[in-house]
Amino acid sequence: MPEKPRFEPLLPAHAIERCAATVVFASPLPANAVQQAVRAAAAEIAEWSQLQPAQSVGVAITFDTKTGKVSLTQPANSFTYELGPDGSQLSVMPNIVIWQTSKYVRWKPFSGQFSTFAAPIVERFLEHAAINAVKLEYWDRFVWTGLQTDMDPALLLRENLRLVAPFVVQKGKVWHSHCGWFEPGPAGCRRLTNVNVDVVDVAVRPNEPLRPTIGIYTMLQDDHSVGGATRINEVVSVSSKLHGLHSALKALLDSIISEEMAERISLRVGDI
Amino acid sequence: MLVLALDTAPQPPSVSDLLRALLVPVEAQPAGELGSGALENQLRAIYSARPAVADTWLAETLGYLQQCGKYRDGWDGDDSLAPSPESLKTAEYLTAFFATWSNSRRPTLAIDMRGQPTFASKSTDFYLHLTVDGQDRLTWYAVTGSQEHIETDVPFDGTSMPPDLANLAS
Repeated sequence: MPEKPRFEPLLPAHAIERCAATVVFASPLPANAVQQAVRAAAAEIAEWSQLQPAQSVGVAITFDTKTGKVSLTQPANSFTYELGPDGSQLSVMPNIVIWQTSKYVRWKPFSGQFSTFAAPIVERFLEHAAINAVKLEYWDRFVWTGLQTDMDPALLLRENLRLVAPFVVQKGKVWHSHCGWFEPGPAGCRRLTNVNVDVVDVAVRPNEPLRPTIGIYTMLQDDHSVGGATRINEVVSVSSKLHGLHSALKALLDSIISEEMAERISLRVGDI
Repeated sequence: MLVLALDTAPQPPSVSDLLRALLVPVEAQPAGELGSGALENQLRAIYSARPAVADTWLAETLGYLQQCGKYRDGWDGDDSLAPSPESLKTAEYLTAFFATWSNSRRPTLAIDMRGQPTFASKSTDFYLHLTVDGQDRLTWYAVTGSQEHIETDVPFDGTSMPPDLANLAS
């Protein structure tokens, strides 16, 4: 008798396909300050030799509404470095520092790599500008083992879920539900939460056919530029903030996926 | 033509989200139900993110670790010991760092008879045999070119790879 179709997390231990930690500064740093920060980090951090320069990220997107073509503008004073082939990336822009990986294993190594590679840049940026916001994002993906026409979102998502528009969730259909809201956050900040749920066919492994999946994007961004918020003036506060956002994002995902899947990916235990 | 300047204002999706999505190739293809307009396809690509585990090594290693968690004493003969949860966790943390190595040097995980996780890799000019000695301790023997490297009882807490081990990556 054939097995009943079900949802599987992307990896045996978890469903995380990408994770990104972003620090946004109040104003763009002058060109020489960005270059000095990168040069100093490269000179002082022993592990920096593990990074390879990569194509720099753009700061503008040109979006042609007639053709749908999207193109990037290459900026000055932005740097991108890769750790290993096709995996983790440090992006340094005049007012943004991002550490992201598509090879997430556990929170501890991820936050450790942030501390190793991104935090020294943040520390040097802090000499020139205040931090406006800290953001943590997760892209989780759950793969349906059956046909797309049989895919039943109710086998993955909780019942009576407030965070997904109920009228779009249909068995065997392709749909997207995106929502976001602001609320007061810790230390007087303004917290933005995003929950995007997408049904998408994806090639999960190289050279494999497309498979139906449900992608769940969860994001928390704490804005400390609002009146009354405690400013983040030290890099250690950024790390502490990220730990808090990580815990909150685990709770958020736990409120979206079924009990069974939450247990399957050990969401409530350990440091996933 | 609409030009979106970089804007970190927290509106979903932010431009940095779009940037990141655009910076990685997206292999998702349009499905029949969604239509086939260029704009629709572009948006679909933006939201679907990259097909994540283009990394078979990572998936297989994490899968093997999960399987090893079920081992009990005697799993491979009377004298074989089961790996401790602590040593498996250390091995899992290590996997996050080996995942950044080139394919030719990434080691293969195994469990030895004493229940210790080991990572081994061998190629023309590279050899590595690393043992996880319980929790937070590593021992390895490596050869790069004609140079031998021996390190014992090296602390590893999961936040960064020991520099002497990281230096073997290239």
